[in-house]
Amino acid sequence: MNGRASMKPVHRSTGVCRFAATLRMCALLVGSAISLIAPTPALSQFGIPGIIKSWHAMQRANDAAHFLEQATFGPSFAQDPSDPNYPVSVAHVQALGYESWLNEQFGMPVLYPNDPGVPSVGTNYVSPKDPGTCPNGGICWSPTNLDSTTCGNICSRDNYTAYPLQVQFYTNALKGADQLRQRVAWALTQIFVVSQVDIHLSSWMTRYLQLFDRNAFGNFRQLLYDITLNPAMGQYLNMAGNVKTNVNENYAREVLQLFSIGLNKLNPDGTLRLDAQGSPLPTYGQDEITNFARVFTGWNLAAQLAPGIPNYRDPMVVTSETRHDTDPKTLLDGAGLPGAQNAATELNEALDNIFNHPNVGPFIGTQLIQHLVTSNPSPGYVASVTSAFNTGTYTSGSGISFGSGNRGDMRAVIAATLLDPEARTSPTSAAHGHLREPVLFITNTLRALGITRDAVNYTTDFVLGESFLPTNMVMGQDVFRSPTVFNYYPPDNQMSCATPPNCPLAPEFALQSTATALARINFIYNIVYHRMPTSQPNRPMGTWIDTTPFEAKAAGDANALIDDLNGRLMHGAMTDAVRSIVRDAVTAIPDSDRAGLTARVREAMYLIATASQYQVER
Amino acid sequence: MSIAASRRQFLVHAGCGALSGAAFLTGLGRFGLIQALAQSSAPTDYKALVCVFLFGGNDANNVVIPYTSYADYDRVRGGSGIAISQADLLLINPPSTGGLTFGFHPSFRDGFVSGTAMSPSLNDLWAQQKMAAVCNVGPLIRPLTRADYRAGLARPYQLFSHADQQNLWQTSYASLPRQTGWGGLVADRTEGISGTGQFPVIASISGVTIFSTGQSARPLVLAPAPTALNATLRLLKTDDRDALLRALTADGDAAMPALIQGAAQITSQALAASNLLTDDPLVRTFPNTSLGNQLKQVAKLISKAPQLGLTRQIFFTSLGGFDTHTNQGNIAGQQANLLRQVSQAVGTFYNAMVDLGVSNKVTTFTASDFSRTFVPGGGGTGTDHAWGAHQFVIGDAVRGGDFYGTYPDLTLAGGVDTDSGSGARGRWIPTTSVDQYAATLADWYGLAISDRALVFPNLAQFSPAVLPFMRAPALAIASTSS
Repeated sequence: MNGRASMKPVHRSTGVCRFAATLRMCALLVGSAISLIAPTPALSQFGIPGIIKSWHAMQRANDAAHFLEQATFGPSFAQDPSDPNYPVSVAHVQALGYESWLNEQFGMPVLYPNDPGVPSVGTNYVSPKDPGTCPNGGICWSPTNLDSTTCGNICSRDNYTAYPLQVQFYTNALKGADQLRQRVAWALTQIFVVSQVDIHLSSWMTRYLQLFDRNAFGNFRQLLYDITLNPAMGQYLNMAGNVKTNVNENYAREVLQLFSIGLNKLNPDGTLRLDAQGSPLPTYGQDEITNFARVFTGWNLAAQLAPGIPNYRDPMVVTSETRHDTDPKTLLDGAGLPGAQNAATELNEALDNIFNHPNVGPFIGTQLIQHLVTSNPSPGYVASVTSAFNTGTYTSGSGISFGSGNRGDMRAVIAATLLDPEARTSPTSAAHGHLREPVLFITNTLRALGITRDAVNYTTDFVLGESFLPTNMVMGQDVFRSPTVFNYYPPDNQMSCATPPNCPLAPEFALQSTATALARINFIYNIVYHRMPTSQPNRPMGTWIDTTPFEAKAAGDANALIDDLNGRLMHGAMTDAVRSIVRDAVTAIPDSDRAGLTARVREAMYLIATASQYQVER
Repeated sequence: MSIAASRRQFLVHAGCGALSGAAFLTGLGRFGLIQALAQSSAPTDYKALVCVFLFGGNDANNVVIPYTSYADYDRVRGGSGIAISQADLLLINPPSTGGLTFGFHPSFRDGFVSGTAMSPSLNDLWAQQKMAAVCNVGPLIRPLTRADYRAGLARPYQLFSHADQQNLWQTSYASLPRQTGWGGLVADRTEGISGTGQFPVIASISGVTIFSTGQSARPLVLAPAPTALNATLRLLKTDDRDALLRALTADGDAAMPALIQGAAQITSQALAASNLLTDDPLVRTFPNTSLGNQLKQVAKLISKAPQLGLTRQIFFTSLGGFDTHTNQGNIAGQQANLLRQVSQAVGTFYNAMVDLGVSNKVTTFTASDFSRTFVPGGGGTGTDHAWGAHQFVIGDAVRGGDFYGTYPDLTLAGGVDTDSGSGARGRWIPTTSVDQYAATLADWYGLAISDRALVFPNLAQFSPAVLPFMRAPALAIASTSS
């Protein structure tokens, strides 16, 4: 079912309009129950006839913000077209409409289009320079010191920890304009996992990350090929150096279980296919794994870049055809490879076999939906995304088409995910939505509340990777350092609920414990109250929110402040119950001086950003 | 994802009727357990179970090695990069093997020394009969012969897959994945003997796990040392908690969407627990390693049990890195380092329990995804995923110094090998089920016989239901020397 993406105002699940079946009924309810609606100062300025028109305008803005919550690391509220964040602002989305905005993002350049390490493609992560020398040995590359090949006493940190990549990640997420690409790339790194826990060098990890920049809007088959031959992946899952006399099954198992088809056969709508007894049907068994493992033999890292410097940069190559298994092999669904073929030929045949399996669309599509929109998509939603994957095209309700028509087209899949009515309209299911994973919680909050003093001075050093934050803020998601190839959380994690075993899927809840729940609150406290400790040299400034722009709205009944924060953080969806709790707490603070206004702003931000209804993006 | 809708048919309704009255409550009160579950008689003694989960699949074939029949081991692993030589084995003579000699991996010799305090190693604990080895344990739906397996009968769900085997070990149900673990279910069913305290019985020092999740018991997750115990769940903003709590109550309301409710309830639980962790108890020095720091935190929580009003506790700790497809090492290297860490941390923890006078009341046990292929892979430097593994149980209440279960026949493509033919890798079909292993621990802990079927649905398939590796209570004397 194709999307009915449009800019028509839709109801949010708050206030009286939750119960309205049609827009017209909602307007009548609005008209007759004005006193029940949380008023905004803007509305009261217009007087009664204007309320309806402005209410719709507010709804359109809220819908645009909600769209941006799914498509970026958080909406910008810039109004001025010359603001660097304007391309990903609520105003710009409203001006363009969703489809045109998607197309604009598909064509948005990367941050470093002329990076010599990735010619003609560019990247969001600066390519490592030729290796220099650390004072105490080891290769040296510092992206914070782009012109130098020596790094001094931060060499270890910048070469052997995730620090430089985490700083780049958060800088890009908080400032970059190609937000959709970054958001999709971040989701893809959680499916095609390589972790710096095991691949220690940031130079290796950079080349791995770069392939998501160029494939996020490309084709899935190309992504599968690129990741298979990526040297970091080759080391992580042992395909590098895999030989026919001592076959290693690690990559064969995970490429099937995690990167493409999963364990059980799926219908196009994501539901399990069942046998006559009602049991699931496995997609493969040990034999298929053994056969794929034999296909993936004979490959290794390409030639050393310099004496002692393994090639982390170029795709793996066939270093020995004699170590490639040339026996016949049977792959998925009985597909036979005849044998007596070279490694590269068999690799492509095997990847084709995987790519063309009917599970790929629903398996990957469901996870993309989970990362961007909701943990519990309906079968119809999944079916639509699968169809976009299978046909390579998606046509929106307004007749705008995305995708080349080739199976695996990522643009079609992304458009199908973001333009589906289930993503664009008020949720009807109690299980809709997803807990903001720590990275999204951090970036959404900072983008909503602001990280700049002015165009030049930021209130953050972008050091937000959790291993470089105080331990009382550790939320369980250390960027690019997943504990295992199974990502920080599994896609089929269920949350605890009152009616086990029928509990909603909630992947991100695998990170939500008593410890991390309080860590989130502590994070908000530290940034809102400017309490994050600094630490030289790694965290020179910390991160905080400048409350000045909000203080004028905090006076009096503070409704302007609460409305503003509601729009920025919750796309207008705050419940009356929480609004009233926040208002009581804020107005209990005297507003007679600047200190009081600051305290009010902080109290409001603290309570709203720690609210469970903000933790869950819905 | 609609997979859940269909999977619901297959997830176990483990006694849901009996517990459906246990409505999920928010806020205080042992995370929602209600008095309806309380049993009438209430023993006042204390017991604790401590799980040490070895993530990735520990190669048990290199941990318990035949000495008398070393040729069986050498025939397959000799000459490879992972081979342990006969001369390096720590010799043991388990009485139940009728005179055979075996050997532990040399890392089991390593105890932790801190100043003048020396903690026993795992080999020491074996010699003192405080450690038992349970051989060839793994998830089973029912006892399985090799012929059964080759014919495709009764195979546990998704063998050889990390995430799924971790689930089967933690839920002790091999038919299908469950969302509740046996630790959590045991905590649920022993509510009546767990004391009167408001603090949760079950805690993980290693993140959220299925093991700790019950139907009403919710996992408490704490950070390991060096975070002080009273800092593990500390809210920085100390003033004005009222509004925060009111917002949590509002969002925890049953009318709110499910995920919002869930987030609110976990946060409420955290705040309630943080009120009870008021100090950072002193315990002996532990090794400053991942497992050492986790077990140190466990020791602190055990020391607080009387203050918290708890007479039962269950803990989950873990160590990762066992998935050695390559570079496993032999007497040195990846696995050796990890086993050393286990030996030192568990030995120190044992001594810490002696310090508290509860070494006969606290039982530590290992678990792991699976063992690994007897035939090496990865150019002879590593091993791939297998199945039945040897596990270890430690404490004064353990009938230690012996094997339980059956040490596997190490014949490739025969015996208990899942594989056949010239490419057989040696993946042992378990001869003891996880259910029996776990039920034995649960039985010692105090799970009523009538509750076994609820926690371990397949247990009735196996005989005996409970293995003899725990001492009867009167015979479990606490150590007084360290």
